Amino acid sequence: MLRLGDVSDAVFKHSLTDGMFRLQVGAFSLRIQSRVPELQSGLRQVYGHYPIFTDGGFYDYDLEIRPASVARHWLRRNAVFCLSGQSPFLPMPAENTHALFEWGLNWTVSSSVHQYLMLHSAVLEKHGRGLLLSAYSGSGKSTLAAELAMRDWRLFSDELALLDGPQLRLIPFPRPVSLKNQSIEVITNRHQGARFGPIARDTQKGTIAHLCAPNDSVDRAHETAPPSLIVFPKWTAGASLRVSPLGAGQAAMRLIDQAFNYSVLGRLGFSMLANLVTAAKAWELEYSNLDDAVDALDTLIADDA
Amino acid sequence: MPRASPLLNFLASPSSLTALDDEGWSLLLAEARAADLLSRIAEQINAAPCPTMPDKVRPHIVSARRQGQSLSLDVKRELILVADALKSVNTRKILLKGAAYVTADLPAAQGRIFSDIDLLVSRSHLPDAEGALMLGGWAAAHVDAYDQRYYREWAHEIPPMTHLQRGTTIDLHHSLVMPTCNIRVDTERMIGDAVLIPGEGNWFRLRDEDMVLHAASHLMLNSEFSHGLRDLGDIDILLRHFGSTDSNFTDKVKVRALEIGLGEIAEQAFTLCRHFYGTRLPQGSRLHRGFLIRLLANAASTRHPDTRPYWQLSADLLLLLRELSLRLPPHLLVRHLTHKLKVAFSTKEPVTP
Repeated sequence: MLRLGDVSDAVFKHSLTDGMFRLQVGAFSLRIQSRVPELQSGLRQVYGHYPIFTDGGFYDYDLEIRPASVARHWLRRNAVFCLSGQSPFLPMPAENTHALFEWGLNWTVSSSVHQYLMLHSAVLEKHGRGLLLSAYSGSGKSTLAAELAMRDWRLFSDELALLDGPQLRLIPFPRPVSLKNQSIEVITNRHQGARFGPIARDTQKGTIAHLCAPNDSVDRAHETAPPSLIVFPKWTAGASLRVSPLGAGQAAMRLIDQAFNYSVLGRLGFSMLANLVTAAKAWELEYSNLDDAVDALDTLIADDA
Repeated sequence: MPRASPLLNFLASPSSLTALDDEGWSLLLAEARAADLLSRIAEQINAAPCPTMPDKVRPHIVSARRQGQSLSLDVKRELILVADALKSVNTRKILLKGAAYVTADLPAAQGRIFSDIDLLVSRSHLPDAEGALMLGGWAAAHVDAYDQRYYREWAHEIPPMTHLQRGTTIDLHHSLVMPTCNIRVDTERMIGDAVLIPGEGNWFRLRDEDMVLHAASHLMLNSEFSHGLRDLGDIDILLRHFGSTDSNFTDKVKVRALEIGLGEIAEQAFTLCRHFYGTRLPQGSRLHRGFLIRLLANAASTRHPDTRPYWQLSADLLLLLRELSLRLPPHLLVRHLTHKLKVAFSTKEPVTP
């Protein structure tokens, strides 16, 4: 199997410009096209361990990052994200190209894969059991997901829980974890081995850095897992650890609130969600210390045999 | 040179799917996504499965069908609320295009992706209808003074109204083409001949021939060619559907077109339908040729970067100018273009998604 880290710059750039490059992320095959150097180097940094093809073949989605226009190219370099040639977003400054790619890919998947029930949630796995971390942005979900991924949990996604069919399997979609502002420093200080992609500054969300997914998560991206724990984390400065159970109905209502396509799936969405909260126990987790939160999750997942 | 287009081949001849390799299927999905046709072709492929379709394509078909079906449900649910808001307005309330296809359960509704509900009332009832929708929670999106005047004085619809909680958008029309348009269309006659849609809501739709003609005039006079293939597909499906019970249907459409002032437009649209969908036209039909039809065929074609015609961007621009000159008399056209150029050159900062 060929990985992005194995190919020469010349081969990589050539396949990226002529439409032959395919990046395999979990179950999805992406055709990526770009002449923008920032994207080329960003992909190298973040996706070096991912399987690729440089000679074309089937793809699920065709993504392109291109310069915004000739004028913009010379005055102030901007990049545009396209899915199948259509650009849903406004251009961004070229130095934030990689963040634009990650957001564009999130948008592509969250607006397209209705074969799955999609919840806005981080997903990790340990002992063959799946954990959903569901929360509004700003509650420390991504930081906690990053911390777990840097320990011995397998990363499925920091944003998107993909649930498949009546068997209710979680589908891995291992991607870099998007960290904001102080979280970047928190993870860097705790883990010397943490690798990051290009830093995007002055975005609407502040400074963003993408923490590379651990190699093991990328290698095992075809291994699905059943959901067995739903946790609603909340980071509060100075709070002592609180772990309290949540009723299935309550959990379902909160997950609906965070679902991308609950209404698109109609009845199926309802029955999948009902099965999810029946199969997996739900908890609220409030914490100020990351180690406490990780210990609590280790205990919960071990107890859930 | 652009590559051969799996989408165009499929629309003209569905059996062409068997010739596709894996990457050809990917390109078909990508082209259909770009043309907002993914749900529609997913319904077609589901109804007539292709034995050589790779397994990897199946999830895309499932997903696109779910999206289309949920949209139909959403529209039906929303129309209950719209009907309720409009019940005090004592006139024929006519659904147009997508909303009409869905409510009347026409095959053109299957997998049709659209974002707005289009409504038509006679001009004299426009203020009542607008007021009733406002009471129901729909408010005009922010429109600057120039656009407000453009809509109110020259246009065939008022500014789009969006529901404050649900975000649904209604386009309220009082005419089928712009009143300033060179082409005069007898809207009142079309309203008078509209037919009641059986079922809840007391909705009307245009009569069969007028549905086809409205789809044609909408495409030809609005230069929304990014949806050109979808809109031509509507016309093709309507002609095949109504033609299945009335073998003279296409002829009747032509007669009607002449009556209400859309003879030329209808012929052009039929020519394009035949070009892309192989639509059967009555013997002796006049097929348009020449520069304009070639421009239209370029603009309405597939818009995927791998397969779109080389001259598509130029065709878009020329057709935009043509559309404006059809819509607005010269003195208004100059004013409109000057204003739009001013807006285009005022500085705008890029925004992050």
